[in-house]
Amino acid sequence: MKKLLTLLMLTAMLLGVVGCGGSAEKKAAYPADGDITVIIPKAPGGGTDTSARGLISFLQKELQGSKFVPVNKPDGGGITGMVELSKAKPDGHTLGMVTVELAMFPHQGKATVTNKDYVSVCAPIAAPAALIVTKEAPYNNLDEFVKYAKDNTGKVSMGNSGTGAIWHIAALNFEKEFGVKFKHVPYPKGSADIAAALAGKHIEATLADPSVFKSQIDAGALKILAVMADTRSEFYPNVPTFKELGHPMAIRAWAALVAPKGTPKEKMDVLRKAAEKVCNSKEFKDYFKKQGIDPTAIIGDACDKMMADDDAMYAKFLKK
Amino acid sequence: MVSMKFCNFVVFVMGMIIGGAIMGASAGFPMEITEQGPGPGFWPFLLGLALAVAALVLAVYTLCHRQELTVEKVILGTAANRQVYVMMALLVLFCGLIHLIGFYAAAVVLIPCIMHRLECRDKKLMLFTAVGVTLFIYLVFGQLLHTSLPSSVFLE
Amino acid sequence: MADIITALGMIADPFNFVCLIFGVGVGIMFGAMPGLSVNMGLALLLPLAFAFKGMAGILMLLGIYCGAIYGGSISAILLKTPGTPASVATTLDGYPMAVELRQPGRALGLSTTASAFGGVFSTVCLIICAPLLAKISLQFSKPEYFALAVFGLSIITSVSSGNVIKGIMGGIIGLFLATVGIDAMSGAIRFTLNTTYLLGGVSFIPILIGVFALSQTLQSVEDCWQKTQLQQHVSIDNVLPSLTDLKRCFVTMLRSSAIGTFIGCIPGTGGDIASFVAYDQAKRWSNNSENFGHGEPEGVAAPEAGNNAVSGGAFIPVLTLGIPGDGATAIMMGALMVQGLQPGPLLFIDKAPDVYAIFIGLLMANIIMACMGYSLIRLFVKLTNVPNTILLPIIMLMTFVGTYSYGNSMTDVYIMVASGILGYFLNKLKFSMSAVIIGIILGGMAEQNFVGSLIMSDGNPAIFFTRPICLFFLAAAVISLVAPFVMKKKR
Repeated sequence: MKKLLTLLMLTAMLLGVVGCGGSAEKKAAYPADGDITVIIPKAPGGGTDTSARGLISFLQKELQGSKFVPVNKPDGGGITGMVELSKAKPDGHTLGMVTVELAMFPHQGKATVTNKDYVSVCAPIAAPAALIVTKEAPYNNLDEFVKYAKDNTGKVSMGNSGTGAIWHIAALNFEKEFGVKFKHVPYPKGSADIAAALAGKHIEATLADPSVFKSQIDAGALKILAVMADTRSEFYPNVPTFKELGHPMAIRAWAALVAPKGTPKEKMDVLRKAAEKVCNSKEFKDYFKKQGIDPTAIIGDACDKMMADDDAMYAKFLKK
Repeated sequence: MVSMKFCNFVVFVMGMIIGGAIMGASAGFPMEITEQGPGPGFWPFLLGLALAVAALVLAVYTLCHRQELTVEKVILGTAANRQVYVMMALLVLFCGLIHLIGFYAAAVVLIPCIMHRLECRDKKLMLFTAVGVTLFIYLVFGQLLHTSLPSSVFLE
Repeated sequence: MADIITALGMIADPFNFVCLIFGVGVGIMFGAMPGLSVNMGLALLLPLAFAFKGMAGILMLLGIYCGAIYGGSISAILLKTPGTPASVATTLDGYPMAVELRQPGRALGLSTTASAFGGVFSTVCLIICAPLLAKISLQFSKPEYFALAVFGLSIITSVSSGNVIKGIMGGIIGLFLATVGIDAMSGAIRFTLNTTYLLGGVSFIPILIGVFALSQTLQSVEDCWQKTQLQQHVSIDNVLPSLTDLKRCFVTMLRSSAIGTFIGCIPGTGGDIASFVAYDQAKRWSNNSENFGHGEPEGVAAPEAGNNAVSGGAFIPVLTLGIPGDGATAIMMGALMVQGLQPGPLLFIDKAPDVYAIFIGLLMANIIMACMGYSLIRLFVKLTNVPNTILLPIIMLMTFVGTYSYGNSMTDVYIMVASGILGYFLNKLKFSMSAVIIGIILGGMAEQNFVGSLIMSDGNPAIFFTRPICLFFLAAAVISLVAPFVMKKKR
């Protein structure tokens, strides 16, 4: 008897909870009319994941009544997640993050989805490749480094995050642009390992996202010589860009919030307007700046263009 | 009841086959040690070789100890084992069921089935456990952690 | 001195303290549930941490971090299912002690004590000799990592409770599985059978859950039908470990904590490696080595002290160099930075009270973890008295839920089921599943650093023999492998 009573109570509770969930589905305007799933094609806790969750929480605050639910899908190196996003129903309730790998993988034979399968909301981060070397290195600017590399062809060890990954491609681009040859040393576990290797003087240089190296640079153990971006970094205002020095290279590791192609324009506009407000707000910028990341505010069509530009650039570079 | 000796020989054969397959697949990749380090086929080839060697060592070991190993039995065919195989089949069916009717519904079906297989005949207990556990998963994983467990393929 | 008092004040603040306790509780729960990882817990609660002002958020994250490493041992001991990869070694003696010796309370008590010991030890090391340990960790380059991986692999021989040859075969299979996917050193795509799923490599957590949790459940089904598992009601008298146990395990805990702290401070290595190395070394140096694998208390204390000692050790590169050692510390570093603390060489100079608060926070987290652990042991032991007819279906269902929570992918679930079924048969054939797991965990580290070392030396293998730390670990690996056979011959 007691068991039956408990069973009835449990069922009542279950119905109650479900009922509560159901009552939230009053006819509200988008985006408050249901959960918005955001597929993050990386494992929780990584750089892309934390930035994505940060962006989502800001967007949620901006768009009253909306609920963004991040879902991690790290399988298949992230490709499974990106493919799933491209196939999702384009009703504005499934969004996702894509990274610069989207522009690279199709040309390396690793994926079939391209930037054409998505429309973008915004890109909160677009980390440029920065040339970072050890403090004791005999070169203090880009030209000296290039000269040193030419004198020591094939000997200067350049760390990257994996052969075929973005920083390796950046280094290959550098080789092509300046006519030098490095010794590429991959550190598959990521930029933190490269930072440790530089700090321990096991390699001589790297082209990578400067945010992981910030503590070392600030303490003077590492030097940052140049940045592959259009404008100078806010953290290192004394560091010239490659563009200023006459070599307009821009290799960025961006992550963008996108929706599957075909999502209706009105919904995209709602998201983009909110993103515009958020990405230009002080709290958002502070949130990223405190973590040593230079936030960007690349919204909507500008973001689409960036993805397309990068896709074309990698197509050309990788089709060799 | 199979003897361990027989099983070891099966393992030996499998080891040789898998080791050989690995070696073959690795040979498709560049293997020389250049200035860029060994090619991507080098390490897996070594592994395949090591596996084949280990399988050989196992075979030799089994021959040397064949007396004790013939006596030692691997329990695979008793009634208890058959129950396990039924359970395995149930789990595989569960995967398909999740696809058909969604996770929560499939869970409510699966739990009483497993309990029945474990000789439980108390219908109230089965229902209670099924509903209780599914509710717990719904509350903790579904609502709290926002894990959206798969729903029926018909609802998509 | 004034800084320390300020720091103590920060911890004593009731809200901060509650956050710490909350974090430890959440951490233990995430650690105990296979499929839910510490990174997931940290990522989920990160927004909350940001919302709290001051140190509260940081303390909460510290609590999660310490609690999660400990939590994995609970399911490892009671269900032979490691809640986190760092608790795999705990299953080797924890589960036999709980089931064969019918002393789950003793196992849990030992595990709690060892975990707290390891955590406190490593925090003390952090406080006292962080800069020194950081200097040593900077010496580690690719050859040293390779040697460490080889040393880690040599553990396979002590972990293979069945047949050593089969253990080695299992380890090789594990190493091979680690090569599937995109080879980060050459960019080549290996053994993916043309599927997108395998492009990211073989999913480790689903295999871990399948091979331990599901196959153990299947084995329990068989035992149920064989009526070999008599369900005796287990009761416990003492929650704290007995004096004899403590005396027996003290040296082990000390050694394991040192190992864990050291491994923790090397970026890129974590609790899983530390727990295996600690277990292996405990077995080699113990007077009771034959008892390992059958419920030896040292075998429970060693891995638990080792994996929790990683928590303090992992903070050494974070705080001294500003370089995170793994995903969890990377998240916490981000949280520290948002609070205005810039980890790195400048931190100790600029922000001493906050640094001390982190130290004290770590110490308190371990103590709270121990208190929670002890108070919950009676509850956990009651779990073992739940009849199998209810327990087994629940565990089976939870393996599905846990696997799905990990990657939100049904493919993971299929792999988990397949691994579970395969694991059942492999266990019957006396293969050691731990060996396979060690192979998968260390495979990447071994190969990538082997190849990487040769890249750095332009193809010259002498690099492995001219660097002292590298030679040390390679020699230790050889000694580890050869010693048991030599000792056997002497008898």
